[in-house]
Amino acid sequence: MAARSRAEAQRRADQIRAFEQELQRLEGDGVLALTESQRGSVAGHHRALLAAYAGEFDIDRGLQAQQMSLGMRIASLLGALALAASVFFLFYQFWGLLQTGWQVGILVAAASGSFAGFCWVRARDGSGYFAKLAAMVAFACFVLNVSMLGSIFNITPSDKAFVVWAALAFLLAYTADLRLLLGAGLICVTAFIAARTGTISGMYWLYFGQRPENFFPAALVMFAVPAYIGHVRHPDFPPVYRVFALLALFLPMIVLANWGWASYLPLDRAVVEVIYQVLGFAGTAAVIWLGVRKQWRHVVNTGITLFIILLYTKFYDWWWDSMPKYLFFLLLGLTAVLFLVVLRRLRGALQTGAS
Amino acid sequence: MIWTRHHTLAAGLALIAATNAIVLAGVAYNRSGEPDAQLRLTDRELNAPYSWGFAKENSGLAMQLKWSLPVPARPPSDDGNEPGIAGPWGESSWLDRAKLAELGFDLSHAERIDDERYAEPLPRDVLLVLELDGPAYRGALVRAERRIAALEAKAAAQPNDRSAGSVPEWARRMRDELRDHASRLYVVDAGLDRDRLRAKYADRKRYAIANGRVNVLRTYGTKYRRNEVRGYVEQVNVDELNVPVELRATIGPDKGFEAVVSFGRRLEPWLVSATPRPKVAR
Repeated sequence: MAARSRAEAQRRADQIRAFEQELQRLEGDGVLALTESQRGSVAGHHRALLAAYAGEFDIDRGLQAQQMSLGMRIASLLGALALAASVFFLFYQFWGLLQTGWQVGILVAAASGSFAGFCWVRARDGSGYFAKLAAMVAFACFVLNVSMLGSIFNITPSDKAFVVWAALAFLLAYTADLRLLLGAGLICVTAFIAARTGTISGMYWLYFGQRPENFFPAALVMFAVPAYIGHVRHPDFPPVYRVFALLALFLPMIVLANWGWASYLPLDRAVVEVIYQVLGFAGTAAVIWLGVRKQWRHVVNTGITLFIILLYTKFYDWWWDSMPKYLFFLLLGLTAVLFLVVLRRLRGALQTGAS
Repeated sequence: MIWTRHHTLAAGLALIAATNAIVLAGVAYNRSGEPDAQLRLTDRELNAPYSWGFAKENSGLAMQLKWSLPVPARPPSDDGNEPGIAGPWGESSWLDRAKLAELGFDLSHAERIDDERYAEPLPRDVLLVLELDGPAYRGALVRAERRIAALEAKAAAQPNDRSAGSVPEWARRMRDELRDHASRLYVVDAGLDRDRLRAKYADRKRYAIANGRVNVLRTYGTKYRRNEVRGYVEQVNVDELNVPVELRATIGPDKGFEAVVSFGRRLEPWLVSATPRPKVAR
């Protein structure tokens, strides 16, 4: 069976390794005994699959290789960010010495050349580590291109820049299966939708962060995308959409639950805070339930994290000044224990249902 | 259709080319035809911006528009002092409640002290009128002279009062600063209708219209004073002008210069030319 992405190939390879280990145990315990021909047939099939995956996607075939991969992923992320910063500073170092025509030419050439370079690296790098570096440089060059044109020609800052940045980030992400670039694209989309939402009330777009409710439409859009657009070739992308959507929905709610004056709602500050506390707690609980029901582990984890952040910020707000500190931290600890008990029961109920 | 890497390359290059083409077409449009306004600014109105941590990494140079606001007319205080000019965030003579309402601000709850919404008001995008060396600047000079006269009269009336006698010196220094060094560029009005503003401020060599931001500030009342709501000009949206390399010999920090600045069809400014001029020593 051909894999459609590196992640899928890696998952299949992990399954094969687990199968081999389990088969060894079963044979050792005398539960199962394959004939030589069966064993040879299975092993041959797996070898062929792994070779195909390794050839196409440069997957990790063993545990040690997988551990090395983690280090390579970290190195490639840090390298990508450092290279992007380097591009920025390189241009800043010399652009003032150039005439306007040269400045524009170099910016366009850097954006186009780095994108072409990404395509070249992508065609030769099955592992994706170098493609990630090249993609990040291409994205940085394009961001630099647009923002520096604004500086060179004194152009009024515009939120439309987020649209083209997001477009390139998505192109890079979907071409090379890169969650880092998908995240960059989603941040740009969130900023654009939030800015447009904010300008409806007449505010200057750059201040969209001052009304956290501006982020809600972006959250809904991001949550809806994986439901309506299939990601067969990119099975790791829907979780990224959902996690970003949850952050865009609940982080503003946490802010509004503590600083109600930042809301659009024409209500008293305290009332606004209560509304968003209720919405925050109910919403994160609903999200945890949805994650359990749909078997979206990332949604469950994000929901739990946001629920705890909201709970602890409110505890701080309510009791930090009025309570002795030993009692305050005791309460935090007891809440965590209560939370564990609830989750354990939930897990037990799910396992019973599954069996 | 199967998406290949050639499609990716073509799509990416097309996106980059189209984005640059649209941006450059916008620049060409802004700079085409007769400029909306053309001001002759000097090193008094164009300052090198504050240099921050990575400034030494940046070989480029942008000059910042320095502007002031005409202050409300108030009688001088007992010591003869009265405010001459106001900078960004300052109180201006024209940005009153009526003007704020005209610019779209809802002030219906503004004076409720328990309404904390106004602790964080949202700035609105408006058109600002920049006046160069006009009535606002001359009015500030007149007030500075009037202040000196009032303080001198006071000093003459109380020859034995050392504090009264020492005051005119600082007042003279402030007047000299205003006359010889301070910016003559004032934000004198704001609106939402460009044609109406241009009709009111028709002299394109003295008045430029630029995009900017206005916001509301609420001052908390005391026992004797009600809450006050006033507007302030937060920023001119494009307030840093890139200095092309061919003008770097003339324009720069610590250089005396006069530069022609045009404001185009999209009200975006640019430096057209510059000539050196002697800088008045402080």
